Amino acid sequence: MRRILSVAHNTFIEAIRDRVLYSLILFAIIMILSSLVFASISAEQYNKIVKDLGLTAISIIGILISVFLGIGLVYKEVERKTVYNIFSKPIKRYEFIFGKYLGLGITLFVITVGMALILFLLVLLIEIRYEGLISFYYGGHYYAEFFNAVYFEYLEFLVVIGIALVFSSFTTPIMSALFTFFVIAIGRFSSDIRLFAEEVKSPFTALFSEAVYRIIPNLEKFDVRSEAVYGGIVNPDLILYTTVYAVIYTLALLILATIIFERKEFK
Amino acid sequence: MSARTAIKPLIALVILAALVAVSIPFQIRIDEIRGKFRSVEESLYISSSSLKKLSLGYNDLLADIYWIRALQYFGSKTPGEQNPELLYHYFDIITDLDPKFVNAYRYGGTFLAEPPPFGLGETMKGIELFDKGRSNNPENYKLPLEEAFIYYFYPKDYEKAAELFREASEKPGLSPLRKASMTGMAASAHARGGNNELSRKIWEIIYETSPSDGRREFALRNINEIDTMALEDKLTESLKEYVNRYGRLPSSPEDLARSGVVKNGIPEAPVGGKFIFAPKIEAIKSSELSKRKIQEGTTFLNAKSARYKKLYGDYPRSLDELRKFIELETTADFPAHPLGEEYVYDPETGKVESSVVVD
Repeated sequence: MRRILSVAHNTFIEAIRDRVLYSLILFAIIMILSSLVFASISAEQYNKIVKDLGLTAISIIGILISVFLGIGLVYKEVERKTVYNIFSKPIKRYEFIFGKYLGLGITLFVITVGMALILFLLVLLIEIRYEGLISFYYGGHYYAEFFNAVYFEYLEFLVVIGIALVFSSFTTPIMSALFTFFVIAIGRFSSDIRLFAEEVKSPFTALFSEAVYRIIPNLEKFDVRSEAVYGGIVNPDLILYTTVYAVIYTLALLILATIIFERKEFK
Repeated sequence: MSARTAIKPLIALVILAALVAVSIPFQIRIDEIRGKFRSVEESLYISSSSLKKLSLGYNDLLADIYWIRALQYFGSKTPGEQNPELLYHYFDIITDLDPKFVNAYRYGGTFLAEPPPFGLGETMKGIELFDKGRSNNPENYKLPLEEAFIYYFYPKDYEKAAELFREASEKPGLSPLRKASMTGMAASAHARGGNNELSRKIWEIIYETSPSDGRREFALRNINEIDTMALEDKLTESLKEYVNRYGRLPSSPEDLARSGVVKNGIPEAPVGGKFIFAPKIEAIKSSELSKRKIQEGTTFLNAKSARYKKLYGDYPRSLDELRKFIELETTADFPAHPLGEEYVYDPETGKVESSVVVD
């Protein structure tokens, strides 16, 4: 465990030194702040525009960071040949993979918390200024739902880092990025596959579609942004089940990445 | 040496700024050729299901973008230039992307249903949007309540309005006062159809809850009109009492006030102007309201006269012919003169005017 934490620590330090990270965070902050401009021309839908744009900004930037830093996690070490140095120490390959994942997961946690706090301050500012209007239109402030939405977005990042890590362990960064984005796109439309499985007449195709639906990451399940605006059911059961789903899926991805990485030969 | 190297980026920045500045006239010309809102019109051909796919799950944000674009497009056009089909399509897309966006149904439905100048007069399209909103948000009371207003004022379907008032009153989370108020509205619409008391209450709610300044002004104008009509009725009652008491009409509204039949004198009309006698119908009327109604009546009759000419090649030969055309070939009624006077018609020009001029 100490070795995993050591790799994670190094990954975290390396990640926060990455310039790409800062440009993406800056972009997210600009997007979040620009929501104020859009809100001002939205016919009094301030609360909705700020939350929608802000939460989407956190989600898009978080996914971009997960993908672009995730795809380089293993590949960079191999390319720079630093991996020889690492494996000359008593570190097992699975510890390396888990450590790398943990390091980026912590980086994303810090960034997500930072972006969420900026957005929350903005939401508070809007809600204090237009309290009556927002209560009338939306019937409440839904602060808990707001933080649940951010938490669910973070769970999605954790799964996306896992996907990027799997691809990063056997192919080039460009291909990894492409594959990861494909999987994200499919994962975002998982309910369409389910619908197809329910409506198709051939039992074989239905079974196949159902299997695909169960295997691909159901990223739609991590979207409760709408509840942050209108309120709705984000009860403890949903939070628990979604967290467990994210953990199990990520664990499966890490095991897959480890299997691939274990078979890799370094010349 | 260092001064030289410092100048270089400065020169580069100046060149960059100059190039951007030079490109602006070209952009303006391209906009002129292609049209500023080309992409907005194109959205008529985009379905919400393809937009959902393109949004990659960020449906709510896409709905917001469409919302802002719809507001900007319709804010930049005069009522005559606005395309009702495009507006309906916009709000249909917005509410497909974000079915819980209650304000989109409310704004879109009301704007479509209300007659010009505040809306597009597409009542059924507006109702369709409200119906969609009610089905997607079964617990929301505002949607059935505002759809009831539409039914009450425009198609004047009081039974349907009563049904919707009742539906709104049964929604969860309403305060007992609000629940009672809606139940009262339902009973009133059901029992008495269109009545001023209920109309005033509805406009009052619209005034208090509408987010749009224009609509609030419209609601206030209606409230003032209803209050003025109530004063007209009260003063006409006093006039009848005066005639019963003295056996003749008073010489002026002031004479009526001096007689003591009207307590506290002749009140001010909330719509402005003054109260005047309408001897033909033995009533007291507001000059301002009468002027508005005469204006509406003559505008309507002149439009129908022009329509008659378009269909038959010439203006109607008399006011009677125009009356028959309106009653037989349109769904509207011939407007009554608010002061009981006559409309004067000129068959040469096809123009209709009031026989009396109200100051």
